[in-house]
Amino acid sequence: MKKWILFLLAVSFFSCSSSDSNLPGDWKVISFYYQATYRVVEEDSKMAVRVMYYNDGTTKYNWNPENRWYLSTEIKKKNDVYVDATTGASKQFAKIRLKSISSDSLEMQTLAFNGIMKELWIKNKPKNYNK
Amino acid sequence: MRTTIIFGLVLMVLTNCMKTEEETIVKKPAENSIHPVNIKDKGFDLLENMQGQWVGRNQVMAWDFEWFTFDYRAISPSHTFGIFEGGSMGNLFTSFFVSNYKGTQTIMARNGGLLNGIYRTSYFVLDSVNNSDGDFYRLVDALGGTDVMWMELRFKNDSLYFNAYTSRLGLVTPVRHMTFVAKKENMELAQVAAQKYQFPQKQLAWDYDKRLIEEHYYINQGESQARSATFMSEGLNTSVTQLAYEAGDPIRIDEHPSLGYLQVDIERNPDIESKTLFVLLSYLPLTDQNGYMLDNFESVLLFPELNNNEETFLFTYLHPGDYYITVIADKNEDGYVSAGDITHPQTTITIEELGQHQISIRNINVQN
Repeated sequence: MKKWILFLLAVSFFSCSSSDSNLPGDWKVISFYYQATYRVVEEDSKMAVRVMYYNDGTTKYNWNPENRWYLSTEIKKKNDVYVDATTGASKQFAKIRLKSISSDSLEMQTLAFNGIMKELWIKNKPKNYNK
Repeated sequence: MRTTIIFGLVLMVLTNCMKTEEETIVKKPAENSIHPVNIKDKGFDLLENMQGQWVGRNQVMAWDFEWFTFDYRAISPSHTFGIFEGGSMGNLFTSFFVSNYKGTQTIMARNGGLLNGIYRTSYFVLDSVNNSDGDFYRLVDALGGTDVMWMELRFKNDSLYFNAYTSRLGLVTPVRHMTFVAKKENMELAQVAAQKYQFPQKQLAWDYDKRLIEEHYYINQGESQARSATFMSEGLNTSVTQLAYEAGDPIRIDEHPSLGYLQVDIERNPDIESKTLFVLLSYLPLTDQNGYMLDNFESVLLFPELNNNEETFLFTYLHPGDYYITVIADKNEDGYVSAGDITHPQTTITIEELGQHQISIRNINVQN
């Protein structure tokens, strides 16, 4: 009996929360077309993706608590990827998927107009991101 | 008891991992709060800034064009025009012109094209100008404003940053749709056109206020009112002019001054059967008299690709002038012009103002 309980608890743990600890933090986008740094952070018991810096040549933004931009206000794990779980992200950004490549790199997929745009995110040095 | 605990744990595992389905975002029609910039005060220099051949890199949705160009030239005293001819995939243009919008003389943009038999044009109005870090301009959907779509351009030194943000005509949150980063490669062609038309002048190219018939706006399926200043029609075997009429486009292709047409008919020999054809219009020769390639590819102005064994292509909205036309068969199928590809000796064509021209290329037989 105890073995069954331990087995099922183990299945639950490994199937649902295996790489969560790597996700919070600042992620720099590697793109020819724009520069951005996004921060995965826990807000109101949800995992959110803040826009800390964005510059596509015409639109520039630095994180401002009075004017908050989010890539997503809530992402959730779905199979092996994190997906946008909100009904509407903030302006200029589509629904996203984040797929882990390694402990310090992600592939971000933007789902827009029946196409998938892929870009590489590299993690910045760790800080305490929940402040 | 054991069964109950195991069932409970299994249920916990399943509910922890339960999927959350994405929901469709449907927004209410936007309130019209567009404030056009009066070009008597500012913003008129957009027309001058836009002039020239811009060469750079372009991302359109999921497509990444590592080499891309727009050739902007005046077609009247207050209208500059540029187009991307994609070939089999369709085309996409954006023109900028002086117009009236709700009584204000301003600059508007007409953006659209023909894609898979679907004709679309959308109209934008200049609502923001900032000259603090280069010259910045924003043009927003002339009906739905930034709730539907907009484009931003920033000129700094010889660079252009051109972004467009769209929303499936208001059905989803706007996202960045196109990002064109470029440098000005050539101004000579634009200067010739500007001199010819005494461009730029603060005079109406079109009066959008008078031409607009609101009943012609495209309305999304299942909705009762339009969200966007967009006009659409569809027909795979219908001419672009006919589609313009069917869409109720306020400004049709057949009303444009200056621009001509070129029909290219290509003979495919067995060596290039089923190969992708690059149909290039340039202001410098891309091949010599024997058909061997020259390193002048930065002079390419239009670069449609023909797939599916197609043998004809119609250039529309074509600036008048002298061009070299070069058809290159992608023999090695690497997706680029490269060694091993097959082309032909140097060939020229002159496009007259409002001209309708035809050329046949039957000698694509020189392997490089």
